[in-house]
Amino acid sequence: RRQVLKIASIAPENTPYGEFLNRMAREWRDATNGEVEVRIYHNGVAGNEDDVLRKLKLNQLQGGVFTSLGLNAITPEVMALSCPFFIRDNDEMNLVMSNLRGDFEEKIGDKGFVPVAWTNAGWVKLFSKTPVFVPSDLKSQKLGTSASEPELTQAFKTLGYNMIPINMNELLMALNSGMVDAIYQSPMMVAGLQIFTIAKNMASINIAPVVGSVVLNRNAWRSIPDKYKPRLMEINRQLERDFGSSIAKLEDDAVATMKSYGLVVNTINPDQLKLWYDDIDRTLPSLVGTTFDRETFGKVDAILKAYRAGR
Amino acid sequence: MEKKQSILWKIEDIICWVSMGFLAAVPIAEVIARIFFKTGVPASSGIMIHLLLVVGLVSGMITTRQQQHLSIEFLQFISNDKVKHVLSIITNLIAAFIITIVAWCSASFVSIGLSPWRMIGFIPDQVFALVMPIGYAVMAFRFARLTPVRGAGRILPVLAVLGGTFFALPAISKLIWGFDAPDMVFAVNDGLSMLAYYIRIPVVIILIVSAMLGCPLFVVMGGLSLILIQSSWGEIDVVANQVYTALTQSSIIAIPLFTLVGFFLSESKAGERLVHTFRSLFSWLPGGMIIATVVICAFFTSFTGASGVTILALGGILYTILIEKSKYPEKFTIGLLTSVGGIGLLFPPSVPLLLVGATTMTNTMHLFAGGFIPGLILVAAMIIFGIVASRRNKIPVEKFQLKEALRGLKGAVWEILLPVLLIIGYFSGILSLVEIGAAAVIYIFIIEVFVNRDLKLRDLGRVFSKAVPIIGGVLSILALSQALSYYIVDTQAPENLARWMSSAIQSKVLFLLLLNLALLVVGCLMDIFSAILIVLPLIVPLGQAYGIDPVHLGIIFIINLEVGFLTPPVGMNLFLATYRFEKPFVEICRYVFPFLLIQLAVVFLVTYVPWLSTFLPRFF
Ligand code: NA
Ligand code: NA
Repeated sequence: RRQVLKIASIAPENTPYGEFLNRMAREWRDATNGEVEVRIYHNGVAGNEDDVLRKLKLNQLQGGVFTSLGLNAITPEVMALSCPFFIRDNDEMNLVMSNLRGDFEEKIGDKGFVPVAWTNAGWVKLFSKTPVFVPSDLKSQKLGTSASEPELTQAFKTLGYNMIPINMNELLMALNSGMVDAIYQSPMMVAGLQIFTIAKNMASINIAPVVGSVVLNRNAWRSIPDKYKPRLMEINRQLERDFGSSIAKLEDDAVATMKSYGLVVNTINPDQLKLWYDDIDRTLPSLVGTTFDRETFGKVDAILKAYRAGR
Repeated sequence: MEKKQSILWKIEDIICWVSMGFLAAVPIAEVIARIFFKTGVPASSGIMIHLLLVVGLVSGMITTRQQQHLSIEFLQFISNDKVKHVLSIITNLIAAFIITIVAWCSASFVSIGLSPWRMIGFIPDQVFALVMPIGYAVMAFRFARLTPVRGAGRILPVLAVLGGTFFALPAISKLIWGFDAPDMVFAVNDGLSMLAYYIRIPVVIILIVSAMLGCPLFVVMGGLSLILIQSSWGEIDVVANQVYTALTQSSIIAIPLFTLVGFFLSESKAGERLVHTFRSLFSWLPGGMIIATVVICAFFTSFTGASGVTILALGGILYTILIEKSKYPEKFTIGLLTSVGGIGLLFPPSVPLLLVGATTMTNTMHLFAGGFIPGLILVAAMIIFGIVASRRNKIPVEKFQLKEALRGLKGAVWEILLPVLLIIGYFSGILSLVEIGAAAVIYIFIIEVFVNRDLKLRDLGRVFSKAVPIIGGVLSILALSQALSYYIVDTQAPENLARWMSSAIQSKVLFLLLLNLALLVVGCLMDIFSAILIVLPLIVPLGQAYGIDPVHLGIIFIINLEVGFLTPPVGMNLFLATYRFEKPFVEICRYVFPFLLIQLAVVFLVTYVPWLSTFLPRFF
């Protein structure tokens, strides 16, 4: 009997994300001789991440593309990846993921979900009306935060920032009116929401990686005949390799486009970088165990410390 | 028994009013905290959306109790009491049956769909969400009780609830066993899907007919989504998920708030004061009272949204002044008053426009800016027609009296300031939309209770109890129409239709023409809220395929449906005018006809000159 897997994504169809999913749908169908039919609901038509997660639990949808926001709603351990200024560049992120991917998959699996693909879609950056180079530049400003991310808000508050919770669709107005002076967000979102027309400064420092994962619910995974599973995972590894660079390149494209419309990228020099990192190192102990899961955090920290010591 | 019941009803009312009070108070606390302490109220956004969920369900319960859910009122054309009685039995039984299924779906959704560890402040999400199964169970029970049957017939409502419970088995089995139901239950569930598949077409027809016969529309939408989802081997408890999603959207919070403002205006003497003010300001102009009528009605409708309230609140006084004081012909007066009822829908803070923004993910500020010029054109067209008519009827003008004008202005200054303050607050970006709604409630409360003293504190109950059935009616439809629109998304029909249309029809103009015609038909059949929630999602991908600006599309949609208020057979304003002016339906249709033609002309203008809707949004 033919198995239909409905997978929802908030990304539009004409982006590398959309192409990734369309190709996955095609190749999974071919590899299973049509026994597994994957239907993709692009562009957020099936709901936002919270809504899609609920539909996965009810089994109305069988899969969804989740960022760290949705993954965190499945299992809080994933939040460690999104701790501000903790993981600092692509090399560190790749190292952490290659070591801990299995751990995360196990944790997510315990909650009844199966991640079948992972991608890194660039970095959350800081956008502000006035240039920001060092932490004290930002601490005197009002920093807008998504009302649906209490953990991140708490982390920033502990670091000493003035946090103003706002709704995503009111970001532009909030910046325009001075309700907030700066926001942290992925460059693709900033480009899409036209936020750069007001918050014209981008700090070059990476705040946190944007993680994306295609997750199926356990029912869906069970319904796929076992004989096909290794081949399907192989297909997805290949897709990750093929699309990894183009998804990461989305960020560069977005920044380049915004620059042509007047965005200023402020390069943070190594001395200034150290101020940001010292700041978080000082604050981290109070966040671990409350905002971030202690065990996961410890593992990531150990990997990063060893890597940084050996560099 | 009676006493117990009335205490329960009181408790229900109080929960609803207190939740609405918090919806107004929390955002104001948020603004104060932001200004003085540079921080927000902890967990406020989570609390707000969950209060909305409570308001949505409890007001739905109250609306059921008062039998005021929105429906297509064909019943009023039936004079045979026996037929009416039978129809009332049938529609109540259908409602009890369907809402029982929705209640079970809600129970399954709360236990499976939500995470136990997610907290809203210190209360778990799941505890808040319990209002869904409880609310729908109460509604089902009430529909059963309200079925007018006697003697042996009293078994019928019981059977409706039991039948609903049987057909809810897929949800109930998930509630009990999760996804590991015993084989026999699994077989029954599969059988139900198969059954649903074979009977889906007759069931859909029955549901549509029952809507025509007066079954509440939210019930029909719930029924349609249940049968369609079940027959496509979907999970019926996703219906409850859609209710939860619809009633936990922060942008929807503005709807109860502005409705409340509308009823503060209509229950106080604001309407009379405004009419006198405008009369003293404009009656020296030829057609001055027409200008006043159009402007006041636009103002009222922009707050009350569903334009019915405007005719009910202002129809009487404007009718008296236009006919007795200004000597306009009755035919003309009724035509005018019926057709201006919808004119304010393009002006902020129009609830239908808010809903368009939420449904299509379009920036509401852009929509309000985009609706402004088309709205002005519509107002101007009606005014010009009025002036021409008043010239032809040789309506005398009154002398302008400065003293009178100033006195009038003083009387209504606080109400006139309201839209000014709101527009400044919103477009300057100082306040978010929900905060504006909250500020408007608090402002109008202070003005009508303490400044103008039109309302005493004990009158507040009256304001709330008039507003609640409207809020309950709209939110109930909103919740279950979200389920139906999700089913449509699930079929991927909109994308396929868009693909097919854009290959079959190349011309954008032809597409727009078809869109106009289709929306006029929709306006003939549906109320504006249901249309936005059900039809608009189908049109959005088409609009994208033809490269139509989303703001322009939203404005086309609203202005088309606004005219739909005036087109028979289903024209909300035609019904209300029939009721308000005590004239036959067909007569009202005839009086309205010339005004309808003018509004149609504006619809075409706005559709084919996109600039009118896309120019202003560029500045925001
Ligand atoms: Na109509
Ligand atoms: Na209508």
